[in-house]
Amino acid sequence: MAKIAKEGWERLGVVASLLFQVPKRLLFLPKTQQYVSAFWSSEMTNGVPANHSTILPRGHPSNPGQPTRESLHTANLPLPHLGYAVALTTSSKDRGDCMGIALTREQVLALAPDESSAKAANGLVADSKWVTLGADDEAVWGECQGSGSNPYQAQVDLGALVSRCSCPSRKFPCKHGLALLLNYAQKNPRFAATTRPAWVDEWLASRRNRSERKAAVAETSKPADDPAAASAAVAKRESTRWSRIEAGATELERWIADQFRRGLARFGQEQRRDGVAMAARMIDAQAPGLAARLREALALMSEGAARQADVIASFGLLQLINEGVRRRGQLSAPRLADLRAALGWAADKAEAQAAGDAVSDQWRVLGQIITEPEAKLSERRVWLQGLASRRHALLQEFSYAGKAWDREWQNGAQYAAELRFYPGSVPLRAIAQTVSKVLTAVSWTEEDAETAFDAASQAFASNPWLAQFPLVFAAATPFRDGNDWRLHTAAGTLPWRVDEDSAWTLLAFSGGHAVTTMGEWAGNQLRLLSGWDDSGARWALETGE
Amino acid sequence: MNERWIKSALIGVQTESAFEIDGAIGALLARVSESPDPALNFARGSGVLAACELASRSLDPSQQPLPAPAKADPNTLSRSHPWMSAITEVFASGPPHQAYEARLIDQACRRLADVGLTLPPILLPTALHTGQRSQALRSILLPVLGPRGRWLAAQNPDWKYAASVLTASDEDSEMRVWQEANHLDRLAFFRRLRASSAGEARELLQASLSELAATERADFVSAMNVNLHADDAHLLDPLLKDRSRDVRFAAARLLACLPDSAHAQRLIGWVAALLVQKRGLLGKSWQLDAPQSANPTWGQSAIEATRPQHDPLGERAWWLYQLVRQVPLGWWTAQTGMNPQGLVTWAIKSDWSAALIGAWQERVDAKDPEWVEALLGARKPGARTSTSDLLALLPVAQREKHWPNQIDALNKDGGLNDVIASCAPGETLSCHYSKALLTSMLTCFEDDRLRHDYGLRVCLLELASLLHPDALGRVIDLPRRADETPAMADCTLAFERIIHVRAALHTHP
Repeated sequence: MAKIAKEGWERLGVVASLLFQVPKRLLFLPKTQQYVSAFWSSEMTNGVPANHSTILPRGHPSNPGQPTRESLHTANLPLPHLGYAVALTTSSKDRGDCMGIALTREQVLALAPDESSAKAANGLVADSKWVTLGADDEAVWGECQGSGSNPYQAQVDLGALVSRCSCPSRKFPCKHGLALLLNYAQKNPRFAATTRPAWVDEWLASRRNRSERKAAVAETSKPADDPAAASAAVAKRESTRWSRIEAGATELERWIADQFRRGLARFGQEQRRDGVAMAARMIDAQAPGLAARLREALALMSEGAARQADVIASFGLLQLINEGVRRRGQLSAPRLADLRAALGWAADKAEAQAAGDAVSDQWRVLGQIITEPEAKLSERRVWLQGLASRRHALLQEFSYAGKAWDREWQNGAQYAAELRFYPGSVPLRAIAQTVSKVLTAVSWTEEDAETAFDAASQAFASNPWLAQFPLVFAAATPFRDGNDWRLHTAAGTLPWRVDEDSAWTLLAFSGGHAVTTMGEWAGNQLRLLSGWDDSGARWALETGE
Repeated sequence: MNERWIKSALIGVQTESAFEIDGAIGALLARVSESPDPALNFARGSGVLAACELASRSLDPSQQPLPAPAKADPNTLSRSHPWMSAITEVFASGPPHQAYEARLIDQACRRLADVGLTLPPILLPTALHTGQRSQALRSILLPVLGPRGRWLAAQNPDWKYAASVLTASDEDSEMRVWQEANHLDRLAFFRRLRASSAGEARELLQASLSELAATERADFVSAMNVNLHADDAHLLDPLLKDRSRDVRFAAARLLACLPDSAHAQRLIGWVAALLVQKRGLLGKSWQLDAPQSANPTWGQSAIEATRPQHDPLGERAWWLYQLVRQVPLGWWTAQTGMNPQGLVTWAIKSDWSAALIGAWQERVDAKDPEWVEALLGARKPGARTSTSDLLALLPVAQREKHWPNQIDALNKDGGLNDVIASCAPGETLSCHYSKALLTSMLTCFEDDRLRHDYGLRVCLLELASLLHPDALGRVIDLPRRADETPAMADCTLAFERIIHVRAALHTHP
């Protein structure tokens, strides 16, 4: 990337140095070089540089070929908050003042997190709202009079278009930051070069320090030239984490024993508070899996006497994990992988891609579900089954703040793909590679209910810490038993659960007739995800399609 | 995990206990109990047992027969049908929150019923829930539920209103409805029976009257207006003495519609006594005077001597109003020789105009279009019968003559509400009027009228659901403004959605 940037400089020579007003030091940060080279590659058409005066959104009449907000974000460029490329000015003379960059009103409004912010910002543009305004090559700042006695201090780093404001808004940029930039875009004459106030200096300095520290960390976390040193570093990190986990597991073991010693019948508010604190302690111990299981156990406690056996079982399985942590050195590789998964230790995706068990097959999509385990965090589980291998696979992905999934999987469709499985006693989780949709689907013969259920039981026998195992029941009839939902199969009935609305749509779909159903078996309850009948009609959880 | 194990966990584990578990599991439990801490050993043992249970779960043997499945329904709307998307959108929000949503559901169900189709299974729970929350929509939903919908309704006590509706050919089942169903279902059944066999319905009611509560009696008596016949007087006459005021009034109202009934004859006699023709310089003229005092026999004809406290009419006017509203309109034209317009003009000049006009407005129905037109000209604010109620009695084409076809003109004098309120569920405006009105409706999206006028935004959506289907094809993408408010954007999207859904439903399958 540095080479490409250098070539670019050489091509344009002196002209280029006048065109680009971005401070030099930013050009030499690795990610900024990547950013610049992205513009080089988009702007150098037929060896002739495009107009560098302004870089505008895709679709703008002047520049239809520029990267879009989404493509910039996806490209993991160093300015992910920047909706559109920063416009780079031609020369300081054209700018008429010493401002670092030129922005248009549309570009500023494109930064707004929502419409109400843009509207509010328009209302704050008036001169009378701003006690002070100032700008230089690096930043623009101002003090906006709010409802309080002290005006809000807003400032924007022009190099990265990051804003900061002393107002209590949680939006970024806030309306003051936007209004400040709108004033700037409109070339308000009050933005004459002035001495930067201390509060702006301090902020810019702290940003510089942070970016330099990040660069240093990035430098140290690069793969070392010496493989031995690299693996020693990895081993050291692992060892540190295991120490923390072991300490946490020891505490948890003590806490669980205390509950049994005291008696669960005496589990009250104080014990619940202690349990919640213990779950937080597990997070600190880098064992989020223990925290999640403990929280689930606490939730079961709230459900009363009917779930007492489940609570005891939950504590027992937690204790098994604690034992596993203590004996980790004696565990086989697959068992150790199970233990790490149970602890919530993220598996190495690169390692799985490179060395995981590879299975190429035609895979049908059995069903899928999207949950929200935490605020703003979505988890999608897509269950597959191989035609030839008959293996089950789980594609598990996480998305933050509504980011789109890498690809969509259609229930009932078949895909030719190579799956690379993560290690474990019951390897289910996999990564899909070289995926292509099969246009002519192949028909399947389902296993009978008893065989399917036996496979699930064997899976849990191999790994009692499994979160779910996929179950497909052919000729199953959902029915309502009082207030409960049950599934009737040739091998017996079992309870199943989904939200009430989805349950009724499934019942309407089946009409009391037997259909094929697929769900996640958690060892004691089935969560139905999809169903289909002989005509090819399908039902899916939540969408009810 | 047996009961003893659970009990130990609940009580507390202080000492090691023998749990009498045999075999390999028992041996394993003994092995893991190596710690001096009994509670820790118990935790380990719980882990062992939990793992064993996960591996050894079995399905419960089926103990009870499954409910009989739903009958096949060849008329279910298929997924590939061009209406599928529109029907799904209509029911997407569940029970209606806005009046136009209720109209869309009504129209969608009518279209399905017109072509003999039923709702697809996936929409049945939403449709049943809609009927559960909205009684007004039940009668239109029931025919399109199909056998699967009725089967599904039987699985949920909240939907029993739909489960109790059975096919008309099943007589035993119909009698079960009369004997076992709730009041609303029985009333719906009674109305259907009155339409097909009025006498049988009358006999059924006669036999059940003594068992019914007052409100139920009043509802059933009101339902006798379906196929009202002179023979019904035998049932209705004694009800003039019912202990319930509502029942007495309902019976009186119906008896007044039977000119040969004793009740109607009494009323005509009383009113005739108040109407005299006098000879003057300009010829003969009719004069009407309200009763001077209350007649003690009025009580048997559902006429109250005591005026309600907040009624705008005076006492004598109140008496006159009660008498006049029970006299057939035809009697007036026959008695005076004046046509309806002449009578209304005469009444307006009378000292008792409020009582006369109010009574005639209450008496008039769709069989008297001349009277309706005449009374529309006598509208006054605060009248007992609203303009839209009167307009609703006219055919659509006749109603539209009273309205301008421009939105602003309609909006000025409350005409928008008249247009909307006078259209019954299932009715639309005429094609000609719809096209003219739509042109002016579309201009609302181009200027600023929708920015602050909440009422106009709501009315536009209602009107969109009333436009004639043949006028809908003219709507293409509505203009969007950069400075539109969220409310304007919502209105635009909802308007487009209504048009799109209705246009799709009126595409021939």
